[in-house]
Amino acid sequence: MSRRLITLLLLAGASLQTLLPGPVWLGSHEWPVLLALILCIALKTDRDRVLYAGLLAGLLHDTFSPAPLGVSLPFFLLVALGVYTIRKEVFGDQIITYGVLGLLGGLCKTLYFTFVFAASGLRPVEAGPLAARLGGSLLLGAFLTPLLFLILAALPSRRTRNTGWIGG
Amino acid sequence: MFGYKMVWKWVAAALALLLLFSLPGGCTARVKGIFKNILTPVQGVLLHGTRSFKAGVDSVRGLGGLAEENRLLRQEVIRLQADKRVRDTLAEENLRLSGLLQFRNRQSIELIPTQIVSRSISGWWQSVGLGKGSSSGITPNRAVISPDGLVGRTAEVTSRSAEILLVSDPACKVSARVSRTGSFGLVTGRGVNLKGYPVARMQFIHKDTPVRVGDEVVTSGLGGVFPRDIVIGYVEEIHMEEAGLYQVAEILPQAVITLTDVVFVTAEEGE
Repeated sequence: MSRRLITLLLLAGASLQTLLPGPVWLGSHEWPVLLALILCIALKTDRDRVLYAGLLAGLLHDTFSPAPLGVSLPFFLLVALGVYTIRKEVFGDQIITYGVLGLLGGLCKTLYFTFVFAASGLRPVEAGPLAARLGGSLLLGAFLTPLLFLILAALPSRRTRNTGWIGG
Repeated sequence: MFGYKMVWKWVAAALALLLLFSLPGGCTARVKGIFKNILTPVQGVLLHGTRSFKAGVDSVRGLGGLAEENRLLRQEVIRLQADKRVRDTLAEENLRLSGLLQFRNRQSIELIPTQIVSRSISGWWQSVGLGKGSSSGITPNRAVISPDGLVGRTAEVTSRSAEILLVSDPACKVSARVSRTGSFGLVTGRGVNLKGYPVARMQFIHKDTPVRVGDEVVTSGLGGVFPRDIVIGYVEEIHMEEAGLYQVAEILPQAVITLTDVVFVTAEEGE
């Protein structure tokens, strides 16, 4: 997967995330398109590209939110590097892996932002909405990540027949 | 293992991160502006595509060219309603205060119609993105209204896009007045309730004022950002503050609940 493709995917993912309405019954939690993309990219490309993807995803996430620039960056970088580190320990071609990673990623994302916003006082954190948000992040992450994996798995086979995802 | 090259890479990355966190507001706004200016047209195209698809489905259902005509007429009705509401408000205000105050500036309030092209990327914020920016005369900290009332205020503005903080966002504070009683208070956003509705809270209402459920809450005009007498919402619940010093009203912000795809930004005076 080339850097250009990663850039295009993340730009499209960020645009999509700003257009999809969050399900009301899940605390209006956003569809975690960027997170799902990062999880898929981290399992399938080399370290430099994983770092690049994490950096770009963090910048894009902050660009489209009123939060100060840089708040999301550590989260996306850590997730990208964390998943890259354990990628030899998991079954990177199994859809269930993406489901579990999406679920855990969603949970970590909500906890991270809860901590950051509560500590900085940027957002009020209340128990009820937080519980709905946690549930939403788990379900949406577990649903969306395998879906994106299936889409991405179909994508590079046409573009880079010889090299697959890595190094394409 | 790690060579010198790798160590330098990590040091450079760490320094870049440190620099990013310590950038002044203006610089971060510029960086955000670059991305936003690139992606806002993309969002517009995606949104247009979605609407075209929906219109296509409507046409297939037998509505034919009526779908497009209906959309145009609906936009026209929204514009006329907004225009009428502002004119009514201004006329009433002039009647009451004519001879005492000079509201020449208020009369020159101009509305910039603009489309909503995106939601906030994170559910933590109650905000939407507009497809117009400073090149169309939109500036930060201007009131954003719709025919149903106050939507919010503009926050970050780039040349081709603008971010609106909705009335239901905790960072949006509006000086308000209960229409029926005339009592003043401060409306602050409270996010979304568990039913999914955006909510706001009006604080500091005089403890002896008889505010009722269903009372209309409007902007007071104090502070200079929001024009006077724009509907914010209706009182859903009223209770006394814990220390008994003032009343607190839970409000359903009408314009946020019924938010359409077109809103109006009040232009800077003299635009």
